[in-house]
Amino acid sequence: MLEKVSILFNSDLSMTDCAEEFFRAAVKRWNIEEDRIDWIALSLREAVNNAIIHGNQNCRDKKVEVVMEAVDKEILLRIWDEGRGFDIYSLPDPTKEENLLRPHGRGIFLISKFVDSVRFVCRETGFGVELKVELKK
Amino acid sequence: MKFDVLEKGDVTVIQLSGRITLGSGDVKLRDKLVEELEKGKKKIVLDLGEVSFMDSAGLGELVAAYTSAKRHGAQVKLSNLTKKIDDLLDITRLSSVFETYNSTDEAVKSFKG
Repeated sequence: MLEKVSILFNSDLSMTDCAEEFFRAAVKRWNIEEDRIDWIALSLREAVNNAIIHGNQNCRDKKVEVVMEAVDKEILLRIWDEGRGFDIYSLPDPTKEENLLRPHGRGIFLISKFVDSVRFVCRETGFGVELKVELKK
Repeated sequence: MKFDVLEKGDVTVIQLSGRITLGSGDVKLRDKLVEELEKGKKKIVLDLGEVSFMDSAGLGELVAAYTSAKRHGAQVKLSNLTKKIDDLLDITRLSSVFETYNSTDEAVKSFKG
């Protein structure tokens, strides 16, 4: 099985809803439990919001691309922006006592909890986050 | 996101429904809470029973609600958490920050000691 679909949009936070709808429509063919779809959708939303706010610095003309690819027993979700990426090791752990009352900083943490693996990719053209979801789980 | 506000004695119950996500519900919650705190409300329950989806911005708003209330000498408690919201609070360890109750009545009663 190999299927690939993608959506490209301007850096506008209202597009996060569209990205989620796109994912929910596409994922129907892949027989994933409803609960799990919600968690993956949450991860996707966090990655798209990060791409718009941090990657593209809310610059509306910069693009975000979401690519969904199903290969054998896994789904890959890649979220690309035009930014330079960030050092994931510099992110504070939001579950540490001293960070619990911070209103921000939980996005990447949540992504890592709800998909099977996360990979960060830097290219000359931009920065990508790849979320891998194993289908038989 | 939508909300209804009920007064139960001296306890203000804000019933939230829908999605609390970045740009859709997060700011509304903040504004509503500030409005209640500025009216001098000190005992607030956020009833999350009808909240269908929440992201990190929504969680951030709950945290901001908690800290704003503290600054005003008020207290915010949570009630009626769905399994998903409960899981989110557990995973992020925010369950150690908030007092949570299975029902709004229990949350309201808890203010009476």
